[in-house]
Order: sequence, then C-alpha cells, then structure tokens
Amino acid sequence: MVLTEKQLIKARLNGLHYIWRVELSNGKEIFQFDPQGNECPLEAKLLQKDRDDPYVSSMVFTGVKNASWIPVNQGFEEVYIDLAEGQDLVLFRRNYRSLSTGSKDGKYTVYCIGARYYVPPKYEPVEEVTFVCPPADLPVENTKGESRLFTGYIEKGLAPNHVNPYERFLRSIDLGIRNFGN
Amino acid sequence: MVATLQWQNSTAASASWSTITTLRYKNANNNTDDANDPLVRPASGTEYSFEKALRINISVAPTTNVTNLRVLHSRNPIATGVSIYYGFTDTYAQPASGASVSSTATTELTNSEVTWTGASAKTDTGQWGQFLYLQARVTSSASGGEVASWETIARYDEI
Repeated sequence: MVLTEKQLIKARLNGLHYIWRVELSNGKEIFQFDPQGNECPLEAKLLQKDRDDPYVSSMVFTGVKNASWIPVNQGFEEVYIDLAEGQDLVLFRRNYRSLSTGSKDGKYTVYCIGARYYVPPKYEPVEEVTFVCPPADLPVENTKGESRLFTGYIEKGLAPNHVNPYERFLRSIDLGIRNFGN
Repeated sequence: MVATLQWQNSTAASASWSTITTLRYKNANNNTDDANDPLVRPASGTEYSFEKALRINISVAPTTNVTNLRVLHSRNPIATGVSIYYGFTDTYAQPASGASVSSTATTELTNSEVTWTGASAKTDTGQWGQFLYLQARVTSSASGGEVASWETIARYDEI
C-alpha cells in the first residue's frame, strides 16, 4: 500500500517508521493522521479489561475487520492482519525513551499488531502479537566502549510476556559485557 | 498526535523540573558532564552518589492514551561493584547528599523492567506517574576509572 505525501510528511515529522491503517467492520477505512483517526482513532471501542486480565495493559479495539502497519520508508514490509469472527485487534506502539549516562539519549519504537481471542472451555483470553522491530537509529555502547547496532527483526509472540527482538538485543549486550570479563 | 515524553530532573529544594538527556552520578547535586566531584572507590564499605530526582513529563498528549510505563537499565551489572538503586515516591524532596544511603532508592534497578508506580493510562499532558529517585552505590570491588555509559529506559505503550 502506498502512503500519500501528506501521510509521509506527518509520519516523518513524528519520527515514525510505520503508520497504522484499519478497516472497520462497516467497511470504513481509517489511517493514522486522518481527521477521524485523531479524534477517535478507530471509531471502534477500546476494550475495557478486568484488573486481573493477563493482558491488562495492552490496547485492544473491537469492531475491526483488518488492520496493518504500513511502512514509511522503502525496504520495510507491511504487516497485515485479518481478524476472524470473535477476534479483536491488538494495536499499539511500544516506545523506549532512554536517558544516557553518556553523551546522548535515545528513542526506539516497536510496532505491535495482533489478535485477541478466547479459548474454550473457560474462554480465557490470548493475545497473539506480531512485534515489528525496525533497525535502530543509534548504536548501544558496552563497557569496553564498543558499539553495536540493532539491525531489526519481525516476530510473533504472546503478549505481554513475550520478549521482543529489541529487548533481546539489549539483553545480549549484557551477556556480551559478562563475556568481556567484568 | 504522537505523544512526546520527556525525562525531567530537579535538583532544587522546591521542585523545579528541567528536561534532560543525560545523567551523571556524582558527589554533587547536579548533572554537569565533567570530571568534578567523582564517586571514589572506597577501601571498604560503600560510596553513595547524590540522589537523582526524576519524573516523566508528557509535553504532547497522545491521540488515545499511553499505558504500561516501565523502567529498566540497558545492562546488568552496570559494572563490577557499581549498582543503581531506585524508588518511587509521591512526595518531592530535594535530592539527598551521598553521605549516606538513600531512604527512597532502596531497590536495585537492573535490566529487568519494573512497573512505574502511579502511572495508570494517561490521555493528557503533564507528569505521568510518581517521582523516580535513583542513587549509585560503589563498593571496594569496583575498578578504577570511568564506567562506560549505559541507558536508563522508560518503556510505554501508545496508539
């Protein structure tokens, strides 16, 4: 899917690698930054969850037929989901805003899309999410002063406990530090 | 709009928040990135830094909301003999000196995320969650010299 110039400009001004698109159950299509999207992003209801819901903190929308994260830059792939009967849309960005003890701070965003459904006999919820992790803009430095750059990865897992590829990258930096003999 | 989150810091007696991009753990109540007032490796016992008083400020509101605020470090351990302790509080107090252990920052912060206290789903601008206090502790097992930089990461979800 090709974005309009206006959408591309808004996405880049906001530092986004992807913008979302949804098709509601009534067939209406809405893009992030559409006027409707800014007032009520999905014209669909944000699912209210119980306090003891295992996925209490993720954002889930009802009344959606399909959705996708559309890449802003060439070389990235569109990530699409078609929702079956009884499935709701899981859609959010997971942001990382860091404060460095060195010379710079950093920002990183994982784009998450998936389906929430209920498994009989108890109809317990499951949220199956694709984590789209673009290449990072800035490298991370280890204690030896070496820098490593996250090169990006897309992967499916069960939220909220799934460790996405970017978080695994951060942890691999830690392992590296141990291997360096601290 | 896409929400804009900022790390902010106050060193004053009455809270006065300014947006920051770096932290410097030292024996002084400032974040100036220099070699003054260093933490000195003790022959025995523990050397403590001044506390750091931090908060998350939302300067541009999200379209829908932001949720799920967490905090973690980019690596663990920070270095041999060097660790950072954290704590959340509703009440602001000027960061305490490094003469003794912090009464607020009492739990070690590692590369495992912890939930930011008081940060329920938020739709508007302003402070999000309680104040975060951090303090560095250095023991005699630390190596001399400067510790390579690391990142303190706030993680949150948004649409």
